[in-house]
Amino acid sequence: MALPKRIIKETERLLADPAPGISAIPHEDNLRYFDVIIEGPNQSPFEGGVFKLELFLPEDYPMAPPKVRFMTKIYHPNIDKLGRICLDILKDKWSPALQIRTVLLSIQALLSSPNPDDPLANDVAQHWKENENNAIQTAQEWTRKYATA
Amino acid sequence: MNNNSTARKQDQDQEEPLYDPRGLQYVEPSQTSLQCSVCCEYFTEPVSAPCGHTFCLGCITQALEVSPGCPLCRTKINPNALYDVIALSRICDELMVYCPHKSLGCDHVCQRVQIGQHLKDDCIYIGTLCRVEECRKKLLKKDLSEHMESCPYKRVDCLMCNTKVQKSQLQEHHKTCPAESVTCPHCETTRTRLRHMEHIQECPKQIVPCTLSEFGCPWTGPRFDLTATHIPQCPYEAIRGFLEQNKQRVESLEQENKHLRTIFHDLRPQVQLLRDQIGSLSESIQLMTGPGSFGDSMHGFVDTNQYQYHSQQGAPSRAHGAILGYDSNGAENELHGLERSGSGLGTVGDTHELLISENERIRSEIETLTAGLASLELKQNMAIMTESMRMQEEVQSLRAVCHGLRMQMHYLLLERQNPHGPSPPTGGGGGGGVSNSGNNGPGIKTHGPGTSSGGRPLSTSGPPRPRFSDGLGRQDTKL
Ligand SMILES: [Zn+2]
Ligand SMILES: [Zn+2]
Ligand SMILES: [Zn+2]
Ligand SMILES: [Zn+2]
Ligand SMILES: [Zn+2]
Ligand SMILES: [Zn+2]
Ligand SMILES: [Zn+2]
Repeated sequence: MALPKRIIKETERLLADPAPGISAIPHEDNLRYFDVIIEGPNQSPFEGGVFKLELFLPEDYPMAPPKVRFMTKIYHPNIDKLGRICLDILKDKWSPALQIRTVLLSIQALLSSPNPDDPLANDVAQHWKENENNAIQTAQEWTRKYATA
Repeated sequence: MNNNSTARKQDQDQEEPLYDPRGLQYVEPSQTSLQCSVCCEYFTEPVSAPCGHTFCLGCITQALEVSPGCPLCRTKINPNALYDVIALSRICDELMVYCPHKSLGCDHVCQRVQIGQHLKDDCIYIGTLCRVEECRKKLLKKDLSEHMESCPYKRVDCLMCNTKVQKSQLQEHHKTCPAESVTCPHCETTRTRLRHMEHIQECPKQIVPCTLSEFGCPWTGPRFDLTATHIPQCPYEAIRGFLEQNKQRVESLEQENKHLRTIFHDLRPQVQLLRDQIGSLSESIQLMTGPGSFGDSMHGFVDTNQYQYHSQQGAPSRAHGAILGYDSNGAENELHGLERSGSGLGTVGDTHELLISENERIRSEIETLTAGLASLELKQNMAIMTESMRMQEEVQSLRAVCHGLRMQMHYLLLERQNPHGPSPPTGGGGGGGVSNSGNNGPGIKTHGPGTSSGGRPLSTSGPPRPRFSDGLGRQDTKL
């Protein structure tokens, strides 16, 4: 099936005018598959880290949300060991008016403000709730350990 | 039929999806305020929801199937509450677009609403098919007229004969066109091909063989020489009448030969059959008469008969041998050999003589065969007759003996039943028996009634008699 014009347009814009701290590059052999890099936001426990993600646009995109996953290990209450992300717009709150760019910006925002009340990684969320400073320290350590280029 | 329908279908295919409205290229592509947030394109049939957000009709319908909220503000939307935004639709329709065949070379630019018309009527970069039924080549509309000039399936007039010919076959047609002028290779005069066909039958300069070449005249030369100089002095012409007569005779002889050969073939199994019959007959006769008597003489008779039959023949020894041993292969080979040598012989006379002698031979063979068959049949009949006469006599005498015995038995029985009765007419009974057999002599037919009439005077005697006569009757029929 030919690539929908919308995907071509979005890709063109992502490449020509990338959002700050975010890059998404499609695979040459599969234009629905993107290698994504998100820089850890300033003032966050992930500052200085470079996080790799993979993003895939399913056949029914934009009616269905893209599938996104962290490839780099990250200590975050809304991201589990396998890199799966707990983010409403990637699930029931998806809208066809959203785009790759908005999805990646939302993920970047999630790094700035972890939400331990809606956790995916329960032990991390527990840690975050009980001793936020200590949890943030662990997150910084993990960032240094795993997310430095 | 099939080709036609597929061709028509292709025509339709070609006219139906003139372009993909979502694939149009706009001259000014980034007026985002006029673009749908679902497909990120300029609106196609824009509709607004009660929340105030506008989408393409197709996009919002598809989105609502997945999730019932507005893609932008998540307000629930009832699909029936969507309404057309006519002004926006007009604005979008007036956006300038490039022809979809820009990549092929069309640089046409027009309002979006007019692009269908352009593709249908004006665009020369659109794909089409050659009009000629046999060709149907796919090409761009702009190349059509050029193609029609050179389409190999297009029909063109042959300027010489004025018939329509496929362009690709014109060259080939000129080789057979009846109106094409042809130069006679013999006399180098020129005329149309049609006339040339007639001319070549009588071209005076064509090299021809003598009209009597079949009889062996080796002469060849230009046609005008044939009648003018050769025929008057051709040695074969002088005996033409004889040659032709000969030819006819040879032909009829060949035919007769063939006919005779089939007869010969047909007769062979008959002869074999008769032979077998005679063999089995003499065997059975031998069995009937016992060794040493008639059978041997019959054998001897057959043998001598055969011997005579063979020695009678004056036919060539080879054919004789063939018939003697019924060596059918040999005979056939011989026939074939003769035939072959007949055709191989150069001169008519030899063939002729050979055929005649061959013919004669076969005829005489067949005649002797038929005669032999007839005499064999006759002799066989005679043998059977004599033998059966002899047998008959024997049977007769046996029957007489039997009768005498029966009478004696009768007498004895009667005597036993009434020992004091009047003495039976012994002499009369014996005489009756003898006379009876004497009467019956000429034919067996009268024998049955004779017995019953002979028995009648005794019918008044005791009860055992009928049983007795029954038994006799049965014996009689057996004989
Ligand atoms: Zn749309
Ligand atoms: Zn809305
Ligand atoms: Zn055009
Ligand atoms: Zn053609
Ligand atoms: Zn012609
Ligand atoms: Zn000529
Ligand atoms: Zn001659």
